[in-house]
Order: sequence, then structure tokens, then C-alpha cells
Amino acid sequence: MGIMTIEEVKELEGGLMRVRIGPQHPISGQGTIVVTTDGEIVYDVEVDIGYSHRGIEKILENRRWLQGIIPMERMVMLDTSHVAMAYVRAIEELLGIEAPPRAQYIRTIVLEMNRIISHTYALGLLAESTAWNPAVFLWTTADREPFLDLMEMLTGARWSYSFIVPGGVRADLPHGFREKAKEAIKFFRDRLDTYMDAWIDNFLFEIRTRKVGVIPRDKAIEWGAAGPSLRASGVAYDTRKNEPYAAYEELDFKIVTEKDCDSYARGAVRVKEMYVSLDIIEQALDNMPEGPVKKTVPQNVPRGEVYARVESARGELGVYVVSDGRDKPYRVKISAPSFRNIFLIEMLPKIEEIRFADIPPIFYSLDPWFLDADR
Amino acid sequence: MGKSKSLLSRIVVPVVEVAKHNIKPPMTHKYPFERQKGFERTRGRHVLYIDKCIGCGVCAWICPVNAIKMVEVEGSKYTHPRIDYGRCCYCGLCVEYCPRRALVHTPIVEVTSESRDDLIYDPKKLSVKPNIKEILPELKYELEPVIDAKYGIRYIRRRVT
Amino acid sequence: MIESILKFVEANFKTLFMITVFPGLAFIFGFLIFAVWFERKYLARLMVRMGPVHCGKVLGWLQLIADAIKLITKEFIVPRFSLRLLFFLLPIILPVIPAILVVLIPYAKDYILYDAGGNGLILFLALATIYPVLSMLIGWVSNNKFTIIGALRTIYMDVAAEIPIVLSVLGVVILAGTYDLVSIVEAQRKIWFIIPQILGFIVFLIGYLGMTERIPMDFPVAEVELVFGVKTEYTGPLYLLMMEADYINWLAWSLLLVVLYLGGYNGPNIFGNETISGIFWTLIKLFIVMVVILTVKISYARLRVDQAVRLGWRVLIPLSFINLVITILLKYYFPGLWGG
Repeated sequence: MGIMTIEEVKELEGGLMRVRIGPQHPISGQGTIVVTTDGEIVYDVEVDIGYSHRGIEKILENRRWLQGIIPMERMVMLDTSHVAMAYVRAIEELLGIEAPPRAQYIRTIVLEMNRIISHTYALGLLAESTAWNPAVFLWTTADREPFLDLMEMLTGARWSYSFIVPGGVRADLPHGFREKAKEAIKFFRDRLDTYMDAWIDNFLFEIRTRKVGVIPRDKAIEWGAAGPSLRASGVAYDTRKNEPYAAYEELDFKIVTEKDCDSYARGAVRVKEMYVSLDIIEQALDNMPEGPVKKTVPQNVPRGEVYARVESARGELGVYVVSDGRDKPYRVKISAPSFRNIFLIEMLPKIEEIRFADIPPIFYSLDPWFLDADR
Repeated sequence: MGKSKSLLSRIVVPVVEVAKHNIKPPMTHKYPFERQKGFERTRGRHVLYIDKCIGCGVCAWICPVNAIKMVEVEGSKYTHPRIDYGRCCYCGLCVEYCPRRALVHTPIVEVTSESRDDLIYDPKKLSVKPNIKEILPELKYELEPVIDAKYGIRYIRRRVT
Repeated sequence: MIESILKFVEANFKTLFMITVFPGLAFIFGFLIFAVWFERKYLARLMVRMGPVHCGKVLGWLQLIADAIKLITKEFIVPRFSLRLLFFLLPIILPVIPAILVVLIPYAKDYILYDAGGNGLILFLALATIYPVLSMLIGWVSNNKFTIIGALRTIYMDVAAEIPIVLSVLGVVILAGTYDLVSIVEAQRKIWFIIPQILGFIVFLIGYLGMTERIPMDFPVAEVELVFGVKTEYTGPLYLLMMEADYINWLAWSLLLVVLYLGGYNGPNIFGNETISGIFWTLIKLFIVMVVILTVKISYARLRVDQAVRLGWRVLIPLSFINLVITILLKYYFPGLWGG
């Protein structure tokens, strides 16, 4: 269902019209939503993706194991280290080795900072979807700067880190990193309190997002929601607790869930997860063990198949790797969280009545990232 | 979420919190008159030390996007790398695996030209150290970011010498 | 012949001055440049960035002139399946209506361009209702799905915002006893009407946000879900005219707010000359209203259209009735407070 012919347009009766939102629209990425509406009530939604398919799974078949981290990272632009972590976890499991403990803690710090960077961006877009003349979006963009500069001090790049490799991480913490990170954490905690006052507890924001896009608990499990969208419907599922990786087993944190399953809850889950991430980073900085940060790994990976998952900012990301003993993989299959989340909006008009003006708050609260869905 | 507040405070407090942003310093860089100084590990354009390079070819072997090719250079008995900046993704693997440390990063990220062929830097061009004043002639200040608990980032402006 | 022209100019010097300089053409164009510049700089400041800085050295005011020149030199695009004559004419008529409203306001005791025989308030409200209708027509004429939805929303907002405005203004009329704008300002000599009419002020403020199409009620241009709402198909010089109409409408309604609730030109006489003092105080109060409305614009999201209609009919109209009852009681028990 792409471009409609004149006959199809005339078939619509009752004053309905089909409105295409996209592929250029205020969210990042290209994707189209085709909405059948009569001006106010929405009868049918269809999502059209595939504009940014790059064929990453095929590219990886021609890259050696270490080289393959680079295209994997560029699959998603915001939480890049989670994707690399999934691939590295799969390789390490096939090789049967484990990274040294100091490397695990440094990996945790990089992953959690990435989660903060991604969540602030998504929350800014959620605020912009309620037509909030981009003030909040620019505040969140400005407040990511301390973390982006910390990442540049540590790894050398602002978003495409290429830092997590099979065997550990590429370099140790630079001099003075710990004090600067603590300052950034203190600043961000105050900023989160300001966000709660000025934005989450804002009467007009609540009136736009409460009771909008309610996905009940059983339907969320049945339709396959992922990540914060699932946790906002009351399901306590988090890969960091179910199958721990990096240093999560030794750190102490809780899973964030919410009871009302609407768009407001999905925004609230993200804000609370940011508080939890700040705690995790502080604990990791305080309890870091000494030791080496990298082990050498052999070039060829033995035969086998493995499925590795991580909890990225958008949900659970899984990588299925098949290796046949060479220095390149035989087949890689990526299961992306946004692919499952985007199609939730197609099922919503069947169970409740949504209006045309509700489509942006619902859609942006599911955190759709078309680059992630298209791979 | 959190404690439930009254209706009046949910309408009035956001306006007050927004108005408090008037006293925050703005975070705009007036590029190209000011530029943020890169950090030590920033991965920018490369510099090749031709006398150290032995032509082993590890950089070309490990580059994930096939941006490096070893070519002959007159006046040297080894082959040296030629980097295509149209393809380079600044990942840093070639710098990390060079056995003689002949290829290093500089914090200059401005690599521009007017045609695709000019972006291919042969070894002689790679060995010239870039000077930021020649790339940006209008540059006057350099900003160094300092992370601070009250403002987030504060920039220290210094005149460029 | 030249002498007769000069005599005509000298006899009607004040009227001609009022038409061309203040509050006529020069004031409106000057206000446009100032308002757009101030809005861009102030909103940028609240968003942790600077506004335009490069053109015009530090303050960046030449940026607006550059943008206006860019818009004027763009191509005229008229879509093929729209009603072409109306598409072209409507943005030209649109800025005229708010400009007429600006001349009905008194800026000082003896400085008002058109008195309307003592009925200035009714004429103002009657002319101001043409603006949303023209807005809706602009959306209808463009023959585009997004503009049609925007036009429908404009009419919903019109229904929700206008009746509360008229009912709340009735409270002011009862206190002052007349429809004449000059007498209303004179009646605020001792105490500004915002204090006894606080409920009416809140109702008027929400309706005012709807009529000037500012967030939280800016339905004609609903930028996120509809591409640019009613004004989607416009570009070039026609877009410049529509932007001007938006700002002049804001100016007219803000002046009405200042006159009805904030005491108009009343203020201590600091320049010695009453006329100049009155104009000065009017402009200062206008500036304060602009700053507050811009801060409110940044802090709130936009309402959904059915929520706005529900707000208008279920909350604002009962509030304005309560306001009327309180006003009648005040006027009965304290007759001496209102009046010069």
C-alpha cells in the first residue's frame, strides 16, 4: 500500500480521507503513517517503513569479526554501544572467553551513559509532539552536552564510539574522568528535577497525554511491545535482570514499571529510568576493580550458533550469529526493538477510539526509530 | 507521578521554571569565529610520519570500509597508505593497529573539498600537519569545555595564537 | 493649488499625523519589526541559545530585513486545483482588518483616531470576528487535506473562544457604564479593572489566546500533525502578508487587553505633557503583556480541539456568569469607585 490510484481514492465513502504523514516529519528517520480519517476520528492506521534499509545483515557477512562492529554501530544512531554490545556478547560466547572485570565495569558506564543520551532525545521529541514550540526539545539537546563531552574524552567520538570490542574495551579511563563524571551526574540530577516541575507535572502536557493510547497489559504482551512501552503497561521484564551481562549482576538497581498504560506513563518510565541510570553509573565508578582492560582474541571463531540479547534504550535487541569456523560470520540476524514497537499503533484503532490530534503523542511515546526498524 | 500537586501549582509553576532560564548562559558557538577545542583522544584527520612507516599494510587490511590503499611513493623504498576521506568513518582501527605508530589522529575534523577526487589524500599530503588557521581564516577564539555541576558546561574562551 | 494643499495639511495636521505615523503606518511597520525581532531573541534566550546575531552586528536586527527581502523575491506559486483568484486575494485582504482595529484604541486622553460615536468596543469586537472566518476561507480555498482539517479546527476554536470573550467584556461595560473606550479608561483612574474583575480577566485571557492564535490554542497552524495547517500552500510574498496579519492581530488584541483591564494610558505624568505620558504608559504596558504572553507560549503544550471546545462551554461560560453576578453586586454597593 503505497501510492493510491484515483480509483482507490474514490472508493472511500462517508467523507473519509487518507492522510499521509511522512516521510518527512518532525521525528528523525523516514517512515510514513497513512491515516484514514474523517477529520477527527481515526478509523485505520497503516505504517509504511523501508526507506532507510541499508542491508546491514548482508554487509556483515563480508567483514571480519572486529571490523563488523563498525557497520553494526551505524545501524542505530543514538544508542550505538548497545548494538555493538550485543554482537560482542555473541562473539565472546562462541569463543568461550570472558572480558576482564575492569572492562565489564567500563562497558557498563558506557552503556548507561548511552541510555541517558538516548532517553533525553526521545523525551524531547515526545514533548515536541504535543506541539510545544521546541523549548523542551532544545533544553534536552543542550543537557546532553556534558555526557557527549565525557564520551569524547573517553572514546574519541561523540556518537559512534567503536569502543566495545571482543575481549574488552579499547582503552582505559583517562585522567580525571571520575571527578568530571560525578559533576555531570550532579548537574543532571538537578536538571531532572527541573524537568519534573516544568514539564512532567505540567497541566497541559498531562491533558494531552493521559488516557491517550492505552495499551492494556495482556494486549501489550500479546502484540509484542518492547522496552519502556512494555514496562509502562505493568510488565516487569528487563534483560538486565533476566540475563545479566556486563557488570549488572554485581550492581544494585530496580526495574521501573508504571500502572496506567497510556502515553504519559511511557514518558514517565523513561524519566525514572534516567534516575536509575545515574545511580548505576555512580556505583560503577565507585566500585571499579583494577586490572587489564583487554584480552587478545584469536582471529577465527569456532563453529556454532548463538543468540545474544541486550536491553537497549528502546527495548530488547537480539542478535543471532551463525559461524562456520572462519574469520567472517556466515549469517547474522538482528531483531530490532523498534520494529516491534512501531506496529503497535496499527492495532490501537481496533480497541479504542483515537482522534487525529492524538496520533503524534501516541506515536512518539512509543519511541519509533525508523533506522532501527529498517536495519 | 511523584507527589500529586494541586491544579494551580501545575499551571503556574511551569511558567516560573521556564522564566528562570533567562539567566542561563547560552550554549551557542559562533562558528567559524569560535571553535570548540578537541580533546586528546578525538579522532579527526590523520597525519602520517613517512620516515616511520614501513609499508606493512596492516592499516589497509583492517580498515572496515576499504578506505586505505598502499601506493608507491618516489623517494622511498616502501609503499605508503593513501586514505580516501570520502569513505573514512574515523573509527581509529588503523591508528590502533599500526606497529610503528606512524599514523596518528589530529583533532581537526574539517575535511572539505569541492570535488570527490580532492578528498583522496596521497601520502605526501597526509604527512603535512594541518593548521587550523589555514583551514578557517576567520577563527578568533577557541572554546574549551569545562564540566561543572551548576551550569553543565562552561566554555573558557581563549584567543587563538 | 499648492497653498490649498498646505492649508489642508495644516488644518488637519493631527489627523494626518495619526494616520501616517502613530498609530498608523509607521507605527504598525515599526511594531512588526520590533515584535518579530523581540520574539526571536527572547524565545531564543529561554531556549538556552542566542537568536539572530550575525546580520546587524550583535543585535541582529538586520536579519529580519534580510528575511523579508528573501520572501519577497521568491516565486509565486499558486496550486492548480485551488480557487486561484481567492487564493491570491485573501492574504492581501487579511492584514487590513487588524490594522483597522488598531486605530480604534485610545493612546492618550485626546489621542484617538476614530471614536465611533461612543461605541468603540462594539465596533472592535464586531470587526475582530471577521479574522477567523477569513482564516477558515484561506484553508478551504487551498484544496489540500491538511488545510481543510486546519480550517475545520479554526471554526471549532472560534466557537469556543468568542462567546466567553463577549460575556467577560460585559463585566467591564457594567462597571464603566458605557461602550466608549475612552470612558472605560477614564473609569480606571482609581483602581484598574483587573482587580475586581479577576475572574473575567482569566476568561478574557484564555479567549484572547484563542483569537490571536497563540499556544495553547493555536489551531489554524497546528505544526506537528498538520504540516503547517491553514497556511500550508503559501510561500513567497503571500506568506509574508499572512505573517504580518498574524502579528498585527496580536497587537490589536493586546492593546484591547491593556485598555480594558490594565488601565490604558493611566499613569503618573512624568513628561509634563499629558499626551506623551499617556502614549508612553500604553506602550510600556503593551511591552509587559508581550513578555508575559511569550513566556506562556513557551511553557505550555497545545490543547486538542475538542478539549478546547469543552473548556469554552463548560468552564469559561459559567465563570463569566459568576463574574457578572459579582460585578453587579460591586457596582451596586460601591458606586463611587468607578468613574473619573
